[in-house]
Amino acid sequence: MKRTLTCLATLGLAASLVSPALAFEPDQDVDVIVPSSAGGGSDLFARTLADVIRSENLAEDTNYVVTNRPGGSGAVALAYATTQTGNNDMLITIAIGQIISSYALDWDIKGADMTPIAIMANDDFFLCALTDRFENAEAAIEAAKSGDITFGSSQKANSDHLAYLLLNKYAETNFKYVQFGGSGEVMSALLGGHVDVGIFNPGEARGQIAAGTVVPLASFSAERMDSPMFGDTPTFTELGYPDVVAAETRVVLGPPEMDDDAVAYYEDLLGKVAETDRWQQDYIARNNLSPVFMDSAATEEHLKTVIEKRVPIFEESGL
Amino acid sequence: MEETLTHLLNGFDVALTPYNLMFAFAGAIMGLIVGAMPGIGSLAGIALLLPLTFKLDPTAAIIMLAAIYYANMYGGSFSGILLNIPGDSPAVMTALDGHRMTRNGRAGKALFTAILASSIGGTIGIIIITIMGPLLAALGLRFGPAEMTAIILMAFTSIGWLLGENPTKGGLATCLGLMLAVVGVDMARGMSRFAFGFPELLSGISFVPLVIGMFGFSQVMILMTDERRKKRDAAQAKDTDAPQADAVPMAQQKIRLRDSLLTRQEFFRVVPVATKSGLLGTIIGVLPGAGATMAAFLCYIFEKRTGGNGAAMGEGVIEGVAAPEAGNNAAAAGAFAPLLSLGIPGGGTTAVLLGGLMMWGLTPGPLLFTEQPEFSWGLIASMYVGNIMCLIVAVSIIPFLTKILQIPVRIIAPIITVVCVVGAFSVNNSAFDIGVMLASGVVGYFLVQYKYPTAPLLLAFVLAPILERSMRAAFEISGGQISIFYKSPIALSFLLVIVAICLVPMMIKAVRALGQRG
Repeated sequence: MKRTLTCLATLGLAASLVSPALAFEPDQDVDVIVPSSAGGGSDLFARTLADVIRSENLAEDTNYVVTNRPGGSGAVALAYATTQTGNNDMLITIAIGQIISSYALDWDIKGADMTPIAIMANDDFFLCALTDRFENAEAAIEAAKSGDITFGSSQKANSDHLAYLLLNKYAETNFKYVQFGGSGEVMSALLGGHVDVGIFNPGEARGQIAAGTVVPLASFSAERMDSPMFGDTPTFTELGYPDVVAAETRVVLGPPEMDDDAVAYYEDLLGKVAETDRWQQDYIARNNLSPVFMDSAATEEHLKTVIEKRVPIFEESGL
Repeated sequence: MEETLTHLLNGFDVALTPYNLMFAFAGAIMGLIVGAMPGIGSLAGIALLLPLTFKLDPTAAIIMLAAIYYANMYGGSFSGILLNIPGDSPAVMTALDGHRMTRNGRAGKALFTAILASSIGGTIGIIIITIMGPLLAALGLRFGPAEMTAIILMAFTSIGWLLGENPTKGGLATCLGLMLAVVGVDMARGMSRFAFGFPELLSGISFVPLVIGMFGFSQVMILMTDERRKKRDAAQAKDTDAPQADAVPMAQQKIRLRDSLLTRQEFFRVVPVATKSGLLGTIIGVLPGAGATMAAFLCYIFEKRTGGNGAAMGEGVIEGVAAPEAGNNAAAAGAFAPLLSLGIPGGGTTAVLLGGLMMWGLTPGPLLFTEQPEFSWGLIASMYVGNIMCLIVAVSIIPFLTKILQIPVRIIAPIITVVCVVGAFSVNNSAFDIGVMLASGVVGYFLVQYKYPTAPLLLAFVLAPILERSMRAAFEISGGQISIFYKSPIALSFLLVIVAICLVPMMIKAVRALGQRG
């Protein structure tokens, strides 16, 4: 018994000696690049991330400095990141939709050129309609076979457009795609009766759903959302279309050729961030997000699945 | 009505607590500063401050951020009037007449007019949303893609009134604006247009660097060349002692607050213009996808066409300053109608505020007014108070602002250049935008030298993307059928107005010709 304890103690001592010598520590401020302008979803993600790291003292002396590099719906930031190849002091907070765009629109620099670090949240998508427009999701799918039902969306070649293409392909519907300038415009058009259904994140539709003007028909997530407002909404998977799965996923990338030690360091740091109460409360819960955490390997795998299995649908559709 | 008044009075109870007053004041000051700095608009200002407000009480936070938004509309006109560099895109039209007035030695009056009109327009906008905010927001919903297409087409027709003395040159400038606007990814098909492999061009040419270059940097070149010309002229005129051509050189203007105040007659010229523009601007602010920039343009054109002094607009008259300033402030207020009563943002800045509402734990949407009356009415009441604060603060700094004009050209020119470069860079943190600014500066210089008007170019640049998006969405809805435009009564009536705008002048001419012959 005594021996075992000694053994354990030695092991513990050894471990504590080894762990501070983690091969990598950022030796300067870490730039957190946001590929869109201040105020958007990626910006909020990055700023909350930096704030939690600072206020919870997760990275002692290192400052995490958020910089916006908007333009080309992410192309500018990706192009900039390739000029920083091998830089271990830089992170990019990108939405998976922008990675999808890099393939669907065939940019020079693609999402897979970067170093995957983590996936930290999912913003689910819901198919919504005015309250009395359709009885349920099945009714909407049935009605959409005729080709007269319009589908409002806010970003071409992005994750919500992907959700639309997957729905039309696997549910064999014929929704008509209508492109708007932002989700606020889609909601205006839905309320004004200019489109029949729209695709929204929970935060974008919550106010209307609470007021009873709009109902969520079905969710594009694999599992139902754990929330009183959206918990009763079936997923397309439950409705018999397991391939109709899409969400706006918040991804953290590094520039190309980031060192493995650095990746391990950030993976560990972001894992700690995701576990804090502040992250869970102030970011995930308040913004109606679904909590997920994937490490570097899982993130790489997830991106690969989306790029190889889902993105080719853009080409099929002729975009 | 009575209920509205009760709510509003309760709102004032909230807004007038010292705590909330302090935040309104802080917001007003920050908004004026952010607005006056070229390149940083209300969007960036609010987005950067938003995280600091999470610990605040939501009412105080929105009072402060809203104050930044509308105070920004005041501040944007300052550098436009004084230096011909609009601080923010809604101030572009103000610079047209405002800077002319500065060159004519009336900078103080131009500033005062801008501030007064801003405050009148803003107040009208708030009164309208107080009385009929939800009604207007519901009306705005009837404007779908087809209706927006018709209204933008009408705005395009009205460019004709801006063309100036030489319609060919005006038409060419409009076409240049259209050409610049099509650069970037075509969002209906996903193809990249005229990007030439630059990722920076995929989302199009940014408006602010274009404006800063076309107005500000070209202004530097004009100042430099004028200075050389003046020296040459002075050298020639030395013997003859002839009076200088320039009546009041900018550098010798001494402006006291007293000289900036408007006379009684001027005051009564500004008030009706600001009232009209305030009404029009509010309505444009409520429409989905339109904004303060479009409101300023359209109010200017509307005043030029219908106003008593319209013909002189463009040459430095107070009406030309009052109309766009009242319009953009009213639109900023109007944008709150769909935000508060439906939870729908009308533009970029209100979208950020919407994000703020969620972060403060509120649910923006139709229930906000009934569930959070203190918050909604407190905000509306604070906007009345905030507008008065902006008026007082802005007027009292006029004498300091006009000191800028006393700086000699050889010192101010490099300073303006630095401001232009920093302003262009700070929009997207992009060095590419500095290039855009320099290039449009050179283009702008030659446009001015050869008397091509820049206003139609910028208006076409602002309107074209909204037109393209709306028209494509309308056709996507109708499956390519053109009937969508005449089946909607609203769209049809706008289209008929366009026909009337085009035909009436011709008919009047024809009738007159007939009369002369008979």
